[in-house]
Amino acid sequence: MRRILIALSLCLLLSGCGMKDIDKRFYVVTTGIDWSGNPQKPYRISVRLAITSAKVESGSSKTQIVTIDAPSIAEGVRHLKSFVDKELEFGHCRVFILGKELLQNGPPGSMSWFARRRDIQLVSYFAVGDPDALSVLKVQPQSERYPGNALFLTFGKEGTESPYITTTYLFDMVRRHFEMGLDPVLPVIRPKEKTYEVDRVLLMDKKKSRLILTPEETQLYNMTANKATKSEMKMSRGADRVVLTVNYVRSKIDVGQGDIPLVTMKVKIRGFLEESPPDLLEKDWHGLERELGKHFSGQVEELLYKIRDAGVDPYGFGLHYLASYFGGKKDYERWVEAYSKVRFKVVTEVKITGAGVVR
Amino acid sequence: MLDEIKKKLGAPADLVAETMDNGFTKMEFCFFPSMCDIKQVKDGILVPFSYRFDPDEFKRMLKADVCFIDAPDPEEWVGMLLKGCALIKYEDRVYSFAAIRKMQQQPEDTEVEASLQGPQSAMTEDLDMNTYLIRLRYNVPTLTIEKLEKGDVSKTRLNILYDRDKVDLNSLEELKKRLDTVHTKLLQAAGQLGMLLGNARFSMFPNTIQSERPDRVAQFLQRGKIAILVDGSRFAVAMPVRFFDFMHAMDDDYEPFWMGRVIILFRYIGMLLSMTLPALYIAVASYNPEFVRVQLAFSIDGSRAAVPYPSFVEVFIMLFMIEALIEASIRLPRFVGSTAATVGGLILGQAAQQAGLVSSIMIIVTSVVAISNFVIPNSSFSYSIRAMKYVFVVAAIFYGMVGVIVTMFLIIVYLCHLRSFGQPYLALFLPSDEQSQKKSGA
Repeated sequence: MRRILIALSLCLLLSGCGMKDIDKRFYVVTTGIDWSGNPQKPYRISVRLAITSAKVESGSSKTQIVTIDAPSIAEGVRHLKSFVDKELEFGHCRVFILGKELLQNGPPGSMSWFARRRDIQLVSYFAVGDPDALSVLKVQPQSERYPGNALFLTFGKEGTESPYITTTYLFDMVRRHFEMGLDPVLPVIRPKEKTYEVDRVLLMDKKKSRLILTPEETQLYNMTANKATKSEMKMSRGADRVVLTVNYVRSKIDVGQGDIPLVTMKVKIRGFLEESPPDLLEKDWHGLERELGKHFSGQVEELLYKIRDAGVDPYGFGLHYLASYFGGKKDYERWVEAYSKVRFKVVTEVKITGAGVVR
Repeated sequence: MLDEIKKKLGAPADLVAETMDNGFTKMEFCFFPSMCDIKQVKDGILVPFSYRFDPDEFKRMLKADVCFIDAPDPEEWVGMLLKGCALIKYEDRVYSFAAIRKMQQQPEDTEVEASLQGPQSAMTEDLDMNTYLIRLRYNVPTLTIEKLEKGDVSKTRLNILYDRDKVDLNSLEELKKRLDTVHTKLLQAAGQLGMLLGNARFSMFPNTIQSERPDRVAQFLQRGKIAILVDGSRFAVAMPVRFFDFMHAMDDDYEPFWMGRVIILFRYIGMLLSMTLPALYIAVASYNPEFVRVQLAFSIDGSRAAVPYPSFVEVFIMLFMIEALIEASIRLPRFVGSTAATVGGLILGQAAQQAGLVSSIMIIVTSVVAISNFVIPNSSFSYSIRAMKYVFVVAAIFYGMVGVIVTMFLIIVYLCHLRSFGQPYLALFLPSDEQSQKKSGA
């Protein structure tokens, strides 16, 4: 018994130095990394810190922003600690924003910092700030109850669920950064007075950003790559607009064989008409479905060619290709060569479940 | 006889010791009126001896009536008197007449283990009444009762009850072995016996169960457990027990099946919460705030802003208050009991938080801990859980979330290791009757 007691009391000495009360920690809610332009200290690191209060109401969130220029992110963060009175805590930092300029100026070499730090969650969201990250951080959304909550809700699909918003997690971004034949995609956040506009995506290759899609294209991308429901298909028909609300999207990619492979994408869409001229559906139900499908296929094909010409591969066609071969370096080189000449074929099968009203 | 008894007892004032003379013959007669049932004494001895006296009949009665026991040994006399027998000496022979005064004439109402729709009668503090109550509910010929006396001074009567077809013989043997080692001066309560039997010094969980409900004891007997009734205690001690017996309330068997299961599930959740919540609070507030989602982390942060002490001091303050409150409301006389609850409620509620002594989240934690501890149906088990909570708290102070998880693991390991009278404590399913028969046959 005495021996057990001694062993237990010795265990008490083993405790680490992790003890730090929650009110002695400063929560970073958003981190922004920008390109400073100074080659000695290329990274401008800004953190948005939460000032919590016991009372919670809309618009009551208070934050503080601290900024520093540093030669690397790790050094910058270490230095930032001396600017604040409490321990910086990244455990709840769910949003990381990279400046648009930073991505244009080559890959951030110390990007692995995010994945290496133990307190940064791998499910945190990554995004691009346009024109820069700091200006996104400075926005104080009026509806925010908790500091930083607006962006958490935007990307977390807890709040808004929009087909224009792409969510990129840290683990996915790291994977896409290293995987052959699959490239990173980042949503673009543009500050606008007291709110954010998140309706574009930025496509990058392994090194730098290549292409920013328009909101329309972003929606098409999300539908075909991320199964984004609650989206819409639209088409002009003479003077009228036909709008289909999509409840169900599935897409299947098939990369063919041959020197210049043909990439086939099969899309299945189900939804109901939200806006259409009267009596349209009754006249020719299947005809309308075919027409919508054809229109959609055309749009997607156009998007795919645009993406191909930019030299990026957010869909992972390359990965599909490699999967049907041995997947070695040689296969990859062959794919890279072929990709610029690859042809696309999109087949869309639309099913209209109704017109949204009882006939 | 009378002189001898008076010498031994030192002639106490409440002893009646007289030589009675009805004109025909004489009889020495002594008893404690306070300990005997006067009516029985009158009907059994005084009436036949006085105005209905018939020498032959009286002799026959002394010989044939089961109430009269021959007591030739002078050493036994004092003991018999003290138990409430009346002694008579008639024609040079000494008889004892058992006219023990009974406090209880009918079963009491349940107090500790209340039930909504189950039987409402509970056992009493009288051994014979309790034995009757159990015989009534478990009316089978195989019910075996063994008598025993324990306690050097108190000489408390015990009844060991079991169903000889269903009982586990190893457990019975183990129980008898342990009963032989029990030595105490005063044995006054069933819980005391349970503690003496259960090797309680080295066990963090009780390994005997107490119950005041005869229906529960009957169920135990039917499941092959052994029950011990202690004279003067309204609780029966049953063994061997499993972890799950403590979480079982009789209402579970009397209510609709699925509703009962759901309630049991809630009870287990309550037990877990009551055990771990203060520790989890410390772990989240001091070590791993990333464990909870951001909104909650911020509200804990915000509500803790005014608190000057580290989280574990806060936890200790609140836990001490709630333990003191519970203890006070058990010990206080009923008239002032409600005062304690009101005053305590005020302190634990708004005031402590407004004074900046504790955070508002901690108040919620405290009340959840207290309330979910009351959900546990067995009070000795609920004491165990109450104590176990501090083990978790200490682990959380030094090791944070990892400490809590490892402690949980250690406790499960400990429960697996624990045996109650030779039976595994954490066994989820007992073998059914057929299985155990097959086993014993093979």
